Amino acid sequence: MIPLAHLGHWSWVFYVIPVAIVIAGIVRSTLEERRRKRGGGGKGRR
Amino acid sequence: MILLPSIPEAHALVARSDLPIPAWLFAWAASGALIVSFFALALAWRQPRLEDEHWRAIPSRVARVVVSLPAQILCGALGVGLLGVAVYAGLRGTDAPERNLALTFFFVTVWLGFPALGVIFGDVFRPFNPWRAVGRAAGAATARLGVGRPRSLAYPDRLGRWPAAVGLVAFVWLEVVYGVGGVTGAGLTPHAVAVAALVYSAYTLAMMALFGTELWCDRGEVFSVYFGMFARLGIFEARERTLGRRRPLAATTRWASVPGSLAVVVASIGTTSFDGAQEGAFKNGIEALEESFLDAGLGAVAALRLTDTIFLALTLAGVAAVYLIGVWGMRSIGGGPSFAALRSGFAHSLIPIAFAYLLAHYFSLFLFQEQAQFTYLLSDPLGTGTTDLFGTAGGGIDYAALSARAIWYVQVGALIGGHVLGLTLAHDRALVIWRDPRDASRSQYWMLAVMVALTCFGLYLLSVANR
Repeated sequence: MIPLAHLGHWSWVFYVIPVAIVIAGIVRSTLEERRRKRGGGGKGRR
Repeated sequence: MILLPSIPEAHALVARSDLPIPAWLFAWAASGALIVSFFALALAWRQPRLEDEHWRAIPSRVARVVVSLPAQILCGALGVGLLGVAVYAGLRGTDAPERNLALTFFFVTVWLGFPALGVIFGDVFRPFNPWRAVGRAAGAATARLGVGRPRSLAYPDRLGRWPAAVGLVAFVWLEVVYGVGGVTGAGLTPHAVAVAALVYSAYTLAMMALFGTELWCDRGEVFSVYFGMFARLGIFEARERTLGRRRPLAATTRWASVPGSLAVVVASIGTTSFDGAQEGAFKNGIEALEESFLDAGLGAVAALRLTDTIFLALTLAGVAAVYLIGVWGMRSIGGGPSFAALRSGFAHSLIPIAFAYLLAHYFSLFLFQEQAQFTYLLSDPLGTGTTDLFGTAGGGIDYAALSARAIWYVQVGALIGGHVLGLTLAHDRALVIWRDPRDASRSQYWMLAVMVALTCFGLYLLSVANR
């Protein structure tokens, strides 16, 4: 039996998804940037 | 705002079934709008534009009259008079909170009205501030009598706006934690509010005597600091008895350089969030913790207040932590200042968010409760049913004046708008610090996450409030 009456308690998950997507994008972009810098392709730290 | 039992659901979304799509989809759309705004700023906003306010005097007779000395005296006297009426109503009027002018006046008309007025017309509270009026009148009187004016104490710089931040939390605690005891028969009565107002007046006047009226208003006086913060979003500002116009948002950029300013704006967002979550998102957690305190032998009222105090503190800590994560993320870009400098350097970007939270959460409460304020509470401030000063004592609140759907759209619009403005301020400051637009944009990735998180959190709180 799926406790449908309690589904409302899990509605917060839908609000976390956009935050998780943005954080995942940031982490990915940060890692790529680091990899690029390490490979010598970046403009380096000022 | 649980101390206004006549409108228990007025500031919440009460009919989500009216919405064409699920409420959480609005959070997704809002996040999308923020991401699009972020990249639009990165592409189109490549020079800092908000560091200079471009303040210009308004050459009009009306502007001169508004800031003239007689107008200032009139406004000050009105402020003192209204404070006196509200305190008197609290002390001598009915104990029924919804019928006594005191509670609605302090917690709705003043607390919610002045931030909105400030954004539109500038720092309107400043001339009406009753304590500042008394302080200035006392200063002028001693000067005229030729009495040597005692020198003010040097105000410790490190204290900054911390007294205002603590006072802000204390004020909201009085309202939403101490007042919540009403359900168990020990809530906030108009009499208690009046006594609190008298105690605060004595404290404020003493601090003004010690440190100087204007300095205390800028640093420690809770209402001046709080309303003044929101007024910096708008375009009007009076300088040395001259009314002027400036770039919108620009005045916020200098605001947070004073220590404790970040605490004020975090307190604003945190206390509003807690008020929204208390009866919704946090309800189960609050009940569970309260139960454990009851089992430990605490009385019902003490257990409830202790639980709420803990949750309020956790909410404040949570908001601060989210912001600090955003600041921490900026350190991944080289060439920036220290963490402490970044922490205060971007604090002003939270001001539009604090206003958005306030607007989203209390918009409907304000509109409904002001109908009471300007009808039966104004004509019968004591709530005794024996006076009808303006012939409106028989008036009431028309809850049909605003649909649940309209309230929801205002809430969503406020949250999106506030966070887009927050992103704009943060981006502009990043351009000042990093100069290279690409570095500036990269530094703000984590601030984008902060803005998306605060938007989704705000919408979640509103969606589950009073479910």
